Amino acid sequence: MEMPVLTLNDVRLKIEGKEILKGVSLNVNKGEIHAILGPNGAGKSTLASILMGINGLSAPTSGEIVLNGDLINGLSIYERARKGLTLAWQEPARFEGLTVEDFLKISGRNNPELNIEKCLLAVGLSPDVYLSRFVDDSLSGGERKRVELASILALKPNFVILDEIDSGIDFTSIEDFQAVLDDMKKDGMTILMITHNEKLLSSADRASLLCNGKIVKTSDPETIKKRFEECKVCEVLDFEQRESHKEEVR
Amino acid sequence: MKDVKNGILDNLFQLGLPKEILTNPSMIIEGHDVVREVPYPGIVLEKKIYEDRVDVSLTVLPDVKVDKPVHFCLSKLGTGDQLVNIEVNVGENADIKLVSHCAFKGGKIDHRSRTKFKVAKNASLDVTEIHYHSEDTDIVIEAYAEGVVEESGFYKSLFKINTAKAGKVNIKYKVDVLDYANVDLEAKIAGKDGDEIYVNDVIYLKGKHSRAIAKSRLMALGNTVAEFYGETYGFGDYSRGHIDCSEVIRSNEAKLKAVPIVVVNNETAKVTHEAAIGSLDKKQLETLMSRGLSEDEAVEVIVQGMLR
Ligand SMILES: Nc1ncnc2c1ncn2[C@@H]1O[C@H](COP(=O)(O)OP(=O)(O)O)[C@@H](O)[C@H]1O
Ligand SMILES: [Mg+2]
Repeated sequence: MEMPVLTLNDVRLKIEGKEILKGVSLNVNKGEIHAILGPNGAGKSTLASILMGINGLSAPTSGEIVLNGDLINGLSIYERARKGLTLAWQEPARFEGLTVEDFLKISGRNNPELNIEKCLLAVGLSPDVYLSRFVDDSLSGGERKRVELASILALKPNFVILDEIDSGIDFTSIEDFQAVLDDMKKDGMTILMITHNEKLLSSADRASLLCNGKIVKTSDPETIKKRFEECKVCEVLDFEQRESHKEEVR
Repeated sequence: MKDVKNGILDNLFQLGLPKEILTNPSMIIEGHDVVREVPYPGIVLEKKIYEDRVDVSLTVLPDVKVDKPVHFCLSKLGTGDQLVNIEVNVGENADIKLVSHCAFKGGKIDHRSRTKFKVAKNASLDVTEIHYHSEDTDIVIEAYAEGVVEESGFYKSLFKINTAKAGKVNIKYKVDVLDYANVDLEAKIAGKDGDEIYVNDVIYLKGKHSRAIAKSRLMALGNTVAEFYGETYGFGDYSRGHIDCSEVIRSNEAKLKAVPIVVVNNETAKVTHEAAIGSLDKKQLETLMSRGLSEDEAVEVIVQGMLR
């Protein structure tokens, strides 16, 4: 029996009267790479935000978020981080006056085996060039996202949410990125990976399809990919409408 | 006597003074006493010590390129006043980088400096003034610098308070910029509860093709008053000026003000400005907190980065 490290029970979120998450239920097992697929606007980043407690979303309107057996609804960001949870941003922040070296050291300050050179090499950045660079606007989007990944390796969390970390990255081959995922997995991390990339999806152990604020299916990556393709066909429709529409057609 | 001086140095190093002050050309002034000097060929350093002040003059002879930073240290350890009059003359084609360390520890301290400078034709003067204030100091800082940058000269000044406590700070720079000369002024200060920060840059672009930038970055992290007045006068033909002020507010008790003043009386001149007051970037804070830093620790990292 697999043990879930993260459980969402009927998580709902209303922002200004609009329901964005409409009852998300999900189990993520220890040590797995769990992919989240879904069309634009499905609520993937909102889900990531409510898990980490960012963007002013510290608790859902209703439902439970349970990490390692503890209810984390309402906890602050750093309380969640100290329970081993972290997030790699879809569009990471820029910092004035902070070098890559500073940033990785801050991220890895409680990691006794911290080796920042190794973290940079793992994401394809040369320490000689990048340690002294600033994590500001002078980094390209792709470089900044690699640094974000390196900082996750430095931190070595128990659980990481990767929000479209592949978008905008010019990994010469996606295998580089798969290798990073392997490193993370080897380090014992559990990964919730929001992605559109098919190759990355194949690295996942399981996947879930998020559509219109709901997890509509959790299964093996291949099955979810097929389901996602169908879902994309009539993206403009509400998923439930779409299901009934399909029934009618049949 | 030597022991007393060692005691002073130990205190200064504890406050953050870099050790290279011992080997580089330098002068250390504690209160109204010159406690240490390291000379350098081509630099004439003179001092006059009075009961209530010290007058210092530094002259770089023409054509002398000083190949390492010259350090000044103005310190006051414990309650009292310090008044230092400084005259800096950089001769034609000479080149110097000055680092002025201002270190204050404990008690009630009133520090005033008056600087007059002249950067001659083709010369360059690059000044960094770094302040170290211990938490337990009740401090008033008044720094006034006035000078002229002659033809094709270069003057750069960076003023920053490295420690969290600023105190009551009033700094004013007034610079005349002559033909083809270039000036760059910058101030970076973070204030906490009870701190008051006033920065005033006045630049006269008198010469043709003269250029200047006045930049300030003030942060109000508590019940702080912070005001920046940047005045730039575009008088010379094709003179160019820019005022850039950004202030960060992190308390409803803070009072911030940014006032750019632009005066131009020459149709070929151009002076621009930008001013912004806003809160710390939320995403930066959240990113650091998602790495396990508390909110206060995250603020400290961001502020230190901005002060760098
Ligand atoms: N703060 C907010 N206020 C109002 N609507 C929001 C807010 N955040 C997200 N949304 C809306 O919620 C939906 C899901 O957004 P998001 O989670 O970013 O989607 P995804 O990451 O799947 O593309 C979108 O329709 C978006 O416009
Ligand atoms: Mg998104």
